[in-house]
Amino acid sequence: MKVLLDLCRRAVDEALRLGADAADAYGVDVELQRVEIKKGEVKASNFIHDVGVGVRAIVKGSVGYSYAASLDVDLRGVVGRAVKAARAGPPDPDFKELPRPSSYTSPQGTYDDEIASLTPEELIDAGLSLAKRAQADKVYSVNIALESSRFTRFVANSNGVEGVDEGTYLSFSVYVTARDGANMSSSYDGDIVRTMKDIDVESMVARVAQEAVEGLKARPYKTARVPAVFSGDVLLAIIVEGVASALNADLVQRNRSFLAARLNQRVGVEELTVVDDGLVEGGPLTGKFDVEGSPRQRTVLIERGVVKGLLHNSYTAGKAGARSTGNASRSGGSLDFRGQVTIAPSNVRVEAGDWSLDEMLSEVKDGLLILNTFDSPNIASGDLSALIAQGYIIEKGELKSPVKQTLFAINVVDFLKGIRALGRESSKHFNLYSPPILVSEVQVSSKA
Amino acid sequence: MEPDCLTVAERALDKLMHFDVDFADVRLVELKGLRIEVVDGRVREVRFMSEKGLALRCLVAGKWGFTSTSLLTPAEVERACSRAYELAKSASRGAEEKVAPRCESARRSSRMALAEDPSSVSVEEKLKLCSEMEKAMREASDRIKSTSVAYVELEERACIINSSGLRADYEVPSLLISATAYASEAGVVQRGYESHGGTGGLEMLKARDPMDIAQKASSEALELLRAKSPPAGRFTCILDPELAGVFIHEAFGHACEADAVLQGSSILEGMIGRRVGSEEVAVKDDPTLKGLFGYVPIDSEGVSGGGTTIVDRGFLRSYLHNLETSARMSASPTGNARAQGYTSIPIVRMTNTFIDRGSWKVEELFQDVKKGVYAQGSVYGYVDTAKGEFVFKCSKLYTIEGGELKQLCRDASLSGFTLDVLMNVEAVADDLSFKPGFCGKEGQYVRVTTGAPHVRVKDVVIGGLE
Repeated sequence: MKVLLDLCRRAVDEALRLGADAADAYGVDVELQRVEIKKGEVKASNFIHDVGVGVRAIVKGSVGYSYAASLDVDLRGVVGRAVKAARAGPPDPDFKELPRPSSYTSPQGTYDDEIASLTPEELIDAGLSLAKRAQADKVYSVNIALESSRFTRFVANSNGVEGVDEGTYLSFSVYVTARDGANMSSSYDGDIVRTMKDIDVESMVARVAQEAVEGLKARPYKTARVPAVFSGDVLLAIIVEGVASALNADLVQRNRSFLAARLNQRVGVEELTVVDDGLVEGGPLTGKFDVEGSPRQRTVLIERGVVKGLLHNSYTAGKAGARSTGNASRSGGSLDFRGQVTIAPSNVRVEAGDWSLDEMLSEVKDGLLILNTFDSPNIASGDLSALIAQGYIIEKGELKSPVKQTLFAINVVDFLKGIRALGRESSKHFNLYSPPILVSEVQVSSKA
Repeated sequence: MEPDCLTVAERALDKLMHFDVDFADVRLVELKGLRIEVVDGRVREVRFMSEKGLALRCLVAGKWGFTSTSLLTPAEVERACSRAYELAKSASRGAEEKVAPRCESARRSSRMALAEDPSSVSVEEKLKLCSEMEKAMREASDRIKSTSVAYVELEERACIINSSGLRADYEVPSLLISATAYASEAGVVQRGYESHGGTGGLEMLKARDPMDIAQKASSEALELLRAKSPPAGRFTCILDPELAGVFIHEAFGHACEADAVLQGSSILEGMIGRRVGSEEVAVKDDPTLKGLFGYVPIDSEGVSGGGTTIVDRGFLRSYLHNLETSARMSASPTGNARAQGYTSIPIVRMTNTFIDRGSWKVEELFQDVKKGVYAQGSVYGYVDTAKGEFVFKCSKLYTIEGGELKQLCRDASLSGFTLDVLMNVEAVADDLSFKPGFCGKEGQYVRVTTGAPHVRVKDVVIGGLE
């Protein structure tokens, strides 16, 4: 572990020695075990050890990148390439400075000994027993992936920033198909947590299996404008990708986001507050610092319906005369040392309202409960048209048949302004913590 | 591949074969590359890529153990080999299956001759080209507010050896350049995108003028400013070659991947020999098409696929295989095993996948469409192979009335059902063309080509705001 921090420090020193004005190094050491269960049987057991250092050298504001994906490397060659890359570009006056040293908060619930000590055999046994739980009449195949990992991240820069952060992950996904003659259906869910106590895989598997079987009775809905309750993974597309990602300061500064001109303007109902929280206990993207070494923090994005904040890394913060919000990420996420430094939301929280799910459903005479989609909105326009991967028809406040071959479309601002009720119980879906949301009207289209 | 690399791989295979394994293979991968990105007149990134690592796999009683390492010292490699075996052994507790991939003992090697080696041109010159493209977009109109150009060159080398005596190695260089423009007017922001690329060297940039790539992106962004929201409902749809290519990849190709079939998550299971499309439809996956972005002369298991006819005159003829799926299904491997890098296990992937040319002229497709839509360009697409539900998003869409293009629309999703779509193909034109792209599956991204002529499909559901 000491080796990698030392490598980061040496990379920064070497870059300065080669003439860089500033430099940083981001080291990652991750050990990952993954077990795949296909059609109820073990298919593969994998172990991957990925370790390396990403180096950024800055010459007159121009940034050059290179990386070493091993500990056994010619450091001088790697750093030399970063400096050469930085020299190739013209000066960039928008670059102000890399982060300065600051104290880090140590968030809770990001490391779990139980996950760190899981053996491949234990993962396999867990996977097989879960696959058995999913077996039911008409269930055709159960595919499960279980992944445990532990990592250490290191950062060092030429301003004297230094940090070490350790953590664990358990990631789980289940995909169940059901079959009745030629009729086939499926359901999927998954999550990623930092500690074992944060996940209830057994109920997830049971629910997914039930949804897959119920899906055999799914029918296309109709083409109409109807009210809909949004709950679960579908809100990742709307709130994380549609709101938090659209408040990425880089996209806003370049006028590439539909929210670019809406800072301090009302975009949603009074009851809506959305926060990016890099310190939430046990959050998937919780940590001491971001990939540049800026401390993780809490940033209010939308307060009582009004856009209040943007997500910054050090570059966009410098350009705007603001402070980094600790949202620097790399193109492959926070454990990527190879890719470009970008901006990404951390954990996103929607504040709960006071409705129960039943109360929300009972408001809907004819509409939909939408649970999942794999689509994402167009950040430039805010428009989202999406296939419903999991959803139910609501008639007179009651859940009826599941839907298939049905799309919904809405502009994200119309969604935020069209919110009629926020649920009182929040649940976690990857990096989103949100209650169910009832929206007055969405456009739905289908074959029927 | 350098001789010392082969020695590392041979030593690892020896070690693996000392254990009681049914099959083992070793893949040594080396990647070198450069990525440049210019945004709004500033250089966002100049990044050198370089790495090398070993992927080790063994099969015990039908279960795989897999490890990878970037530490290539004898002690580390030995440790990784033992771990791969231990993983396979523990996964196979209680299993008695004896499925070993069938693979002939062979030596094969593939190297692509470069007309113009990217390393012969300086980083500064490549940067200059990107900057010129970026500037051209910016200067196309004062309504163009933000622009970027990305250039990526990669050289992938690998050597694959296995316990059946196979020895294979390849070198594939690839290059992709893309332009993105954002136009804005009266509070509306729209995006235009165009890319060009393939396998090979800088000669690719002579085959198509880079300024034309930039021009297409900026004019698309400007054009979309006057676009309306699309109509929602069910329509007869003419797909342009770019979108039809993504359509066949998503709507059909993924469900033909034999690993999906074996794991019970493909709606095409048990359909070989059955009619899945109209007489007009032929679908192929061909890794041998040199120069295309999905060119895979030798796959990640060392197999050279000769090209697969998936659908012929509307009948499903073959799935796409790797060594294991072909052994389990008594078929021949098709050269479709691909891994993103040494840290990934090979899975069944498409290469250059396309709808073959038909007999219609493009204008004939439009003539008898009373009411329909013409969808162009692709933003993205995906499929649930079990349900057979797919969706893909086009860059722009025109309504058609009486055979004529009417209103331009944006942000439309097109959706359908795998078992219906090819049956609903009414006409295939004769203007086949290809487009480079990336395909994601189980977290791994690989370069692919999608291709098609103009195609007319009935009963496509369009998800629109109106």
